[in-house]
Amino acid sequence: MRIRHRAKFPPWSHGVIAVTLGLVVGLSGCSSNPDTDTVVLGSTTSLYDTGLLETLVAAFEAEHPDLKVRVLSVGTGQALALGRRGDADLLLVHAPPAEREFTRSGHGRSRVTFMRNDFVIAGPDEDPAGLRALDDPDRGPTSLRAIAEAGASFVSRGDDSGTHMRERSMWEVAGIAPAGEWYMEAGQGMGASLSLASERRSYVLTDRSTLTVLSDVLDLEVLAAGGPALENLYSVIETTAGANPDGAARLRDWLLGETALGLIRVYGEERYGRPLFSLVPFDLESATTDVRSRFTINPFREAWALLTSADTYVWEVVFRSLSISGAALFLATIIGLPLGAMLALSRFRLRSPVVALVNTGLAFPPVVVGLAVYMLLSRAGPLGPLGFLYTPYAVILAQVILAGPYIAAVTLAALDGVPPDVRQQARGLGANQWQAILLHLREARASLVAAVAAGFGAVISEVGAVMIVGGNLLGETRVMTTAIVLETRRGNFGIAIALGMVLLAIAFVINLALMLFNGRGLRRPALA
Amino acid sequence: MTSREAALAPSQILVGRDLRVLAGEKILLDVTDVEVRGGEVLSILGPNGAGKSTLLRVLAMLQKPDGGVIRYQEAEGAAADHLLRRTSAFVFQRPHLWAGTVRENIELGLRLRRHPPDSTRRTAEEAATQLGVGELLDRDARSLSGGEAQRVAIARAMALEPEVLFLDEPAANLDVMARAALIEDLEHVARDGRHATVLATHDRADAFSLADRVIVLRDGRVVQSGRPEDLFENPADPFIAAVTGAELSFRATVEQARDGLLVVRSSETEFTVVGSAEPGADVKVAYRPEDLFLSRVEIHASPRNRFEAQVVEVRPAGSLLRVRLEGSGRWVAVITRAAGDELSLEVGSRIWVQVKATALHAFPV
Repeated sequence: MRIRHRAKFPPWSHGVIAVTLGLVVGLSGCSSNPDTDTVVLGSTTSLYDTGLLETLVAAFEAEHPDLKVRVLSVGTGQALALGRRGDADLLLVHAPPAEREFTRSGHGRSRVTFMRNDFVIAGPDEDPAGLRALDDPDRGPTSLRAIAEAGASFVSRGDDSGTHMRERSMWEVAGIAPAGEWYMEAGQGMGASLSLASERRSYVLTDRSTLTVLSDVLDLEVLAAGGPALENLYSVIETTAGANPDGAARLRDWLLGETALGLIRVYGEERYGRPLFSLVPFDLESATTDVRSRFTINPFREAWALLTSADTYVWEVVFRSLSISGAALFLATIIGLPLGAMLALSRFRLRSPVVALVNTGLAFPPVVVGLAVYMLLSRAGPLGPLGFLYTPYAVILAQVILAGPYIAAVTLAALDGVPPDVRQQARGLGANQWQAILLHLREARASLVAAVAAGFGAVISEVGAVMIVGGNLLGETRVMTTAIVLETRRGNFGIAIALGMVLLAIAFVINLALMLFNGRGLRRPALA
Repeated sequence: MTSREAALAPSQILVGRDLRVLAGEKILLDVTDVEVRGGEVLSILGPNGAGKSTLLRVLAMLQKPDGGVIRYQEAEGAAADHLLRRTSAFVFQRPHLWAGTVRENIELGLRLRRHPPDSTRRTAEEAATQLGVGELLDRDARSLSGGEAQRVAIARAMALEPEVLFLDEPAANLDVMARAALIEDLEHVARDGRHATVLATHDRADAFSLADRVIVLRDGRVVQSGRPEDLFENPADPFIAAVTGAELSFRATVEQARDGLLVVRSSETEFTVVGSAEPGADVKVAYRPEDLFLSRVEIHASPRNRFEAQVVEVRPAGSLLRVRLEGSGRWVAVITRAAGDELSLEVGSRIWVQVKATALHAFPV
């Protein structure tokens, strides 16, 4: 099970290609789904995480066998972006100001607010900002002010979702521009943000339903609830650019009909003791406009502007990526290189199982590595007390586990490719044991450099494991790949493309450097 | 070892005792006694698989034996290893040239020993010139022919000015031309008297032309050792006779010496033979009976020595015939029965004998 010259097409190049293709497909995907037997529903992660959407969709499809519902469960901001671009026919969202703007600008019609629950501020039982003791009818902004004043750790969704928009508007009301060590931007869905808050002992704004559903796995308490700012209203909107307006209308009418409202009214009662949502009386607004609009900004131009203007966000993410993956690569190299060399140069009793283990490590699916590291580092896990989860250390650990075996395996293969008696020959010229090993390594050094470079490419283009263990925290664990995922979701294609271009440029520079290195002869030996 | 040899021998510098190398149950090497003396050329001769390379590597302490001790100068164990690394050089049968230029390769050993840069450069250039690869110094080492690579490897070893030089089949992988040229140069290298040379080879011509002493190995064991002429004249058994080719000899007087060949006179006939001796010296000329070519008529061909003789005895030996001849001395030839029938050999018939100069080896008496 030896790999040889595998570095020619390093596995991470697939990642880079996938990102490129993703960008291209994402941008050319402006054409809508022509199928009239499918209706695309853009909705929020909070509704999906509670399971309500699934229940509703199943009931709808049972009544309408000719119509399939495809649910895109994203943040409200992204759902609105999908609607603007015609990638969704119907939206079920919860950010009234943004929704009003959406319909006002002609992207949606027939907006109906029909259900509600409430937002709460959850946090650790210790309640370091003392939210429980506050006495103000408008609990939302007051609580945020208390958190900011205490400098207590707070997790923001940071993804332009309905919850994030609500949080921002509450900060505005509170008169505070949140920033600093204590303010973490997760850039993830509600469930992941709650998990992050639980692990990092932080406050978080959440809809009550998701918190209730996930309460078993979270160590969070409701610390502030009630008041106008924490009201959470859900609306349904038909998009003007959608491909299946008839399907959208049928689904909307059904959602506002007796069957659906009956399901919503009692949903969760059986399992959680009380319903997760309640109904809002509504009268049907009619469509204000029927203008079909399209996505018009040129994202490539925007990307170029970001790259040339030293945009702090883009470069902060790039720097974060390089430093995290650089550290991971350094550790993976000082572990993988000697391990591979030891396996190639010596014969010991447990060698075969170790070689098998290293080769298995090559095939680790990154997401599984992410999961394993998550279990290891989470508060309940064996290394929980270190508090590494959702920090750069966790990302570095996952990346070391991914790149270490790769570097070890390539080192082993490269050294095996050198004539076996080369160390003996070096000794025959007077080399001591260490010089002989170095002379052996030197003969394989082109492959070794390629191994390390390919390892770097692998870790810097990894996304699954990084997302799981890092949490995509702005300024801490948000790296190029996770930022691309987030910004694509948010509809910020310019930023996503800018980061994609940096990632491609890094891949290109690495390959160019390797080519130059391999093409060049031996320089002064650094040995003697 | 004869007492005369012991008396003449310079001091031992490298000694191996009870050396054993095993591969599982199989004995690869079992040598009770081996020594290398300062300045001498010692050939380890034997067929492929006899353990020559193993013995060489064990002596050079590049391979740990399963038993036995090596003493180098006054040191043993790690100290001997350390000393050998600093004062010996080993040229492998397939020398490894490191990626880089020829110059970098020749300088490699010196750099490992941390020689000062300017003397390193000079020494490397001298060694390259001595081995005829001075022109190649700036070439990519990976672009050399087999012969060039072998010379670079030897130059790389010689640049270290070793006290012991180990050569493992240095000419084995070369074509005939490169091989002849290399052996000639090796003779200069080996005989400069500044270092001892231990040469492993399966080729008896190489072994005998270069060596002061020869060790013959078979199946990992020493079957005979001594001066080349002793082995030639008194092979311990038929195996050695076959390996050394020594069976018969006659006495002769040297008339001329040139280009490594001697013209000697015996029984009023001149012979051209291989060897080194001064004109006027008495020598013994050895040959192998199968190296004689017999023909009914005189044929002008490449062999330098040609004479007519009379058959005095024809004796079957298996599928071969052993033929005793008289004329320009006494000779024994071995030919196949078929050849004997074609030549209609019988006692008293006249026959032409041809023998190549390189099949006749002259030794000082």
